[in-house]
Amino acid sequence: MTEISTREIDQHGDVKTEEMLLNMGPQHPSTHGVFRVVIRTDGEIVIDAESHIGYLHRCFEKICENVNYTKATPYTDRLDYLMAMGNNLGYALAVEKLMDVEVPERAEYIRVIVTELSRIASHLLAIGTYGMDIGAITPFLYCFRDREKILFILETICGQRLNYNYVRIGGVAYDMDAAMLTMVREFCDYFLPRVMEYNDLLTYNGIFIERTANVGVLTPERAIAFGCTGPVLRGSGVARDLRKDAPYSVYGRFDFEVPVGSGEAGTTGDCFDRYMVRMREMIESVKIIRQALDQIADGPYKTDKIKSKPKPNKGDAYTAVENARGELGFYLVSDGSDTAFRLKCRSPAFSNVSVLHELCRGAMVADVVAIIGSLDIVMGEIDR
Amino acid sequence: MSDASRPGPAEIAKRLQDEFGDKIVAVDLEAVDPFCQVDPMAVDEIATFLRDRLGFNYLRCLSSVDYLDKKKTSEELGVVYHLGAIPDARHLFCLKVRLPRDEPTVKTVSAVWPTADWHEREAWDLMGIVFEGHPNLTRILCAEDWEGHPLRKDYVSPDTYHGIKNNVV
Repeated sequence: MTEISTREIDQHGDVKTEEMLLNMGPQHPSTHGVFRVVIRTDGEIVIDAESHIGYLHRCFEKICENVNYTKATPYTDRLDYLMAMGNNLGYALAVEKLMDVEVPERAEYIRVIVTELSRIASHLLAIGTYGMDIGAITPFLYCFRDREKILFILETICGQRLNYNYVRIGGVAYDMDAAMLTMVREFCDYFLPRVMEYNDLLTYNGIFIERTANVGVLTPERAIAFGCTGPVLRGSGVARDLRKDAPYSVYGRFDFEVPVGSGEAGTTGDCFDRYMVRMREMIESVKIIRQALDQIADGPYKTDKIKSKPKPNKGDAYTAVENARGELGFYLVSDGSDTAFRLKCRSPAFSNVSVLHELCRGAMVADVVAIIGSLDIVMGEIDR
Repeated sequence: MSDASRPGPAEIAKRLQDEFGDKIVAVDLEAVDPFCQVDPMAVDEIATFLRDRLGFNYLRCLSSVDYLDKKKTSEELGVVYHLGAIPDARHLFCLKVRLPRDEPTVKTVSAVWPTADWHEREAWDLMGIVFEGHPNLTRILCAEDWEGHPLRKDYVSPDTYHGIKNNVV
């Protein structure tokens, strides 16, 4: 049977295959938002991919030129809505950099605690949905069970579950009392054994490894050239973490590791490495939270020197923090008034997703989903 | 790179001035982010020099700015490049260019740092800055048929877009 069909193709010699354009999105379960990729395929192989973004564009930067600094904070929540605490922090640090203001120590510790809790919540969502993209539904439920605990703690602290508006210019909005600190400590004790559970469920699952190892390999050179940061860059084996390399807030006082990809399941810089970096970062975040809980002292939770309408000095500065997805930067140009003259947001996922076409070239169509998921994109901050 | 071997902003500025002469328009080392203001038509060669000779392998951020203020002291546009290095996070520098409002053209650096590709498209889309030599200078965040560049200070948003009412209070 096989022989005959082979001969037929040989005789005719004109059996042609055509390239096919495949549109994926803007509504697609694996794109985690409204994101469109146009894939040019040759059979099952992807020849090229082109990303189309902007479906959620609301011109955040223009909005910030029209409202004062305090009023702009809630808009930063909606950038990377999975790690809003980190956005608040980055924005607050950017404004504070142009002001002569000293943030109380207690406020800095509270900022670190809530940011790291937020980072764990964000990574849990990334890991859970990544498993689901690839076909493992169960880990998603476990991840959301534990993410819910973090959201509950954050809700207790600031009254919100997703868009916190908690880290403010000059401190934080409300103090954390002893009961809240105990809740965080109990969560840390609860959470660490859970990581083993995820590993048992997903990480060392044979099918999961087959789907992610050696898929979407990003070399460190290309990662740097495309401005990738965060777990995407660290997955390629580059130990770059602003919390460690250029500590802001009080990060310089904590002892923690920067996990990097080492190609333990396949090649360095593949989807598995990026996934694994996130998994290990959650453990490091717990380490940081525990140290912060040990070190935090009584004191004011915000400076009383900032009025409701802060006015930074005239000038411009770029401030970057390490968010769950990488380097979140704010370039602030101030004319000395209570409203930003120009605020540019350098979003990590924007640069991370710009490398997508390189990762997709030569991959199988089914792997495109695995590659997009491993980049952990959040459209809210890509489109701004 | 250790603290001692890493060139400081003053040394970087001097290296640039020695190499490019009057293409370096101004130097400010007192600013929060020390910077050199350079000739827009030479920004690509300066970028290549910074990358290959001074180790700036990473473009952190590319921002467009409209300097038109209420008193109209300036009508220029500008592009600001924040450079960094990986893994050395303390190796930093900043380049700025100023462009005339009626013809805001600057050389692309997308061949030097591929990440600039999307950042320059964004600057074109939102600020209307033309990057000469860019492989695909199209809108990226706004719709393809959008008119105007929203981040310009004199931008007026349209009243309707495809029958959708805007500016309604």
